[in-house]
Amino acid sequence: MLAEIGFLSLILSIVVAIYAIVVSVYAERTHNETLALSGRNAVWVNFAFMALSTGMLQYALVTQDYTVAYVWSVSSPDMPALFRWSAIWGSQAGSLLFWSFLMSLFAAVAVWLNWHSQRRLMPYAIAFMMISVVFFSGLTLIYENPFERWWMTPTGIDAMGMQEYDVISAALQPPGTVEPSNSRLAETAKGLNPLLRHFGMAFHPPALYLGFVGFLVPFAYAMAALASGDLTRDWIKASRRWTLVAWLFLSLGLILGGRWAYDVLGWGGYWGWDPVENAAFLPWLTGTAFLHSVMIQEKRGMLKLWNMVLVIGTFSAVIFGTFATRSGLVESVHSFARSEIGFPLFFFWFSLTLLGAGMILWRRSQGLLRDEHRFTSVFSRESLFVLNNIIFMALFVAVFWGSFGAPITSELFLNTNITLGVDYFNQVTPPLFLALFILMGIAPLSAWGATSVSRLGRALLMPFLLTLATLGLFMLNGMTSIGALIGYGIVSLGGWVAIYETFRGFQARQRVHKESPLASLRMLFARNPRRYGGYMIHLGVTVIGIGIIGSTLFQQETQQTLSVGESLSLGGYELRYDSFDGGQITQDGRILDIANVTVLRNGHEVAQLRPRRDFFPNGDMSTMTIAGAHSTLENDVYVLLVGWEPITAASVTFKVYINPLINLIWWGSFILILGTIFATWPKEIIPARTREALRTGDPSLAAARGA
Amino acid sequence: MTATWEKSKIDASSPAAGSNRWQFLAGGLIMLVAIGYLILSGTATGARYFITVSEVVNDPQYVGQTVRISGAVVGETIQYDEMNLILDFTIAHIPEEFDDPAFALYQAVNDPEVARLPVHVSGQVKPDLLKHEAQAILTGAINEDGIFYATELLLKCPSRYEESHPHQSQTGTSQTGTSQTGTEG
Repeated sequence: MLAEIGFLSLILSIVVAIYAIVVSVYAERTHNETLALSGRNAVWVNFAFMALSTGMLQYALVTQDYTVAYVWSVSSPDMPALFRWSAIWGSQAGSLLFWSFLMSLFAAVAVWLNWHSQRRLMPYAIAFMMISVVFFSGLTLIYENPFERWWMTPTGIDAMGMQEYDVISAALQPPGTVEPSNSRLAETAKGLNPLLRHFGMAFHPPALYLGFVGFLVPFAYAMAALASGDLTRDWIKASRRWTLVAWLFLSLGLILGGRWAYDVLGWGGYWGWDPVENAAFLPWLTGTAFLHSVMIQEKRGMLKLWNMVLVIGTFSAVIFGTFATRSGLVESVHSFARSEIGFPLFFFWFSLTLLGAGMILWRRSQGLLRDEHRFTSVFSRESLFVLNNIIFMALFVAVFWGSFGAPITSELFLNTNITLGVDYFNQVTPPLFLALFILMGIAPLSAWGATSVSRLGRALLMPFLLTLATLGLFMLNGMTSIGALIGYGIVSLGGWVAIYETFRGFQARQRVHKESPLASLRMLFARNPRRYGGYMIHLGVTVIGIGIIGSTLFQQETQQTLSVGESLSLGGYELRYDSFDGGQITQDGRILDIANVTVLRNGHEVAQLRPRRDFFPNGDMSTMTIAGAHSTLENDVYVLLVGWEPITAASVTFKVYINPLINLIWWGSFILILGTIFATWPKEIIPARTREALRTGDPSLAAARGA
Repeated sequence: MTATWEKSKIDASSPAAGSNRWQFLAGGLIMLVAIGYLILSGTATGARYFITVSEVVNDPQYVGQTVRISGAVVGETIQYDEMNLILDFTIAHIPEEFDDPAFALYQAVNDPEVARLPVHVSGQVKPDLLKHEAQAILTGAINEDGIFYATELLLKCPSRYEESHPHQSQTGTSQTGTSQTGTEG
């Protein structure tokens, strides 16, 4: 019954969305305010139906209704509750529904927040958002209906005189069938792959989806601006924050995916340049480029055309990535069902890209995308930002070529299949990333219009000295590789610039205002969240960069078989095998084999680790190797249990990695996410009295109010 | 994409900005060449033929050449010396055209006619996902001894090659048939 409600709501949500499209466009063309409002309300009704529909599937999952085919295929009675919730994105049908739900959610919130401030854009924006919603919910409905249930058709009597049945799946009960027993179905349900039962995997897909789907809003605003011809700065203002929101989730999704790979896959790495990973990285690159170049349009009225290309291109990259990963276009280690949705997705990607490009060209020919200023100096902030964009685009092209371009081109024109391996990415991307880091050090210090070299030099002096001090610290700790030191130096500079510029802003406030240091810092962030949030993101990126260089260049590994009491040594650590706990049975039916290991440094015990192997006898008899890790800021001692002598476990084989500085990646990610939240946070959240104080420039009042 | 941008900027420049125009143009050109070179040289280093098991077994031109292949793992051939991390197994040729990946893998390992290739990997921990009817993606080269020495072993990550249909009868539940339910990775 509940599945039928979900199914019906999905259909109704599509009907309402189509109504919203038609009515909004008509209202805009005829300037009919009543109809425009009706279109707006339809967006909310669409969301209500989508929420009901998704809620029904979620409810079926949580209450273990295995008569729903989707529930049967992604969950099982022995699964912990968290993964019963997350099973909604466990497979194609559910994830498509969830994706449509998120699109509808973003549309509803965007309309709610921006209806008044972006009144002129909204009707067309609604149309573009709803077209996308209709496409994805239609895809769910037609190709991957998650509300299908199992039904039994009697086929005859077997030799034992028992009634035999065929099991079929259908959304509505076909005539002549009977309902199967839920408890019988529960016995055969196998549940989520053990590898996916990890907190990173529970939150990585929704974060990624929120990121992907979030780019719909800026895309719709850009298209609405083009369609209405209202190409003032309004659409940019509205799009910018939405892009930041999407960027926040996309970054989080990428980070969680890396963390999951590091924890679960047991190869000591976090990024493999696999096409599916790259498909998620591509919109991140264009989105990041846009977040930089949008500043030039806001401040100088330049790059209007280019910003359009970036916003539309980012959403186009999202849809392309969805198409490429779900159609089996390229061979990836991530497996997705090769379903029939490939062609519709390709069609949708192709038409939206064509439409976007066509509208940009149309408005350009009318002169509506002409820049208000010209580039006057090669050495100005706007030129450096353009350089930043060029390098982001170069990375985009390089990653696209490596993951999709080369395989597709060779298949089409050379009649062979050529893939570019990790070697390609390791050779092409580091110089581009380093170039970005150099710009991250210089661009924030340059001035609009033109910068004199001597002024820039003066501003760079302090961060440069701090960078040298950092390198000194690395050398004191025994770093001798010149190449690595250059890398660390380039990466550090941007971080020091961010810290130093924040400090200078803080100093300036302290000079002018009589307030406590903490109040100064808070006011600094409150008055200019984008600027100082941005510096925080830069600092986070620097910390991540140091972590990547350290863990990539200086990873050490060894493997050894140890008897009880024996130890191995690697990178200044000693690892002693103490004992073995075999055959531990957990509540959810796993069987654990655990080795107890002591990590020593200079003769002192620093950690007890329990690397283990989980065996899932209830599922598909799979195993899962869980590393034991001793994490410090300096490095991770990452221990894998490879094998043991049967029964006695008198000797055990370990594989041990030392991953230097790897935790900086997670800490830097934390700083980056925090900075993005700062930068995105709406100023309206600041209490009205404080805002008043800010406007009147009375800092004592603001400080007293705790701003 | 960079080219589009360059064009628009030049369009916007006036005679007054003419002297800068050449600076921008030259700078842009140098960068394009540098980026192009980077990508091309990377392509030359990283390019690998992605071929089938049958091609690598039957075509002598691939002996000693680093290639990428994908095959279905035959479960009973997996031999793992965990003390020395030496892994040997055999993969079977997967047909090029198929609708259902899981069924293609099932067919590959059960068809005695298709090409099979012994694989040798050393120094790697046996991946949890290496099992019967899993799809392995390997980089390495076939030697004259007919064994494929892999330097990189990847397995199709979280995949669920299992029944998509329960089979119910009055006498109890049993399961038949294979088909895949893909899992978002």
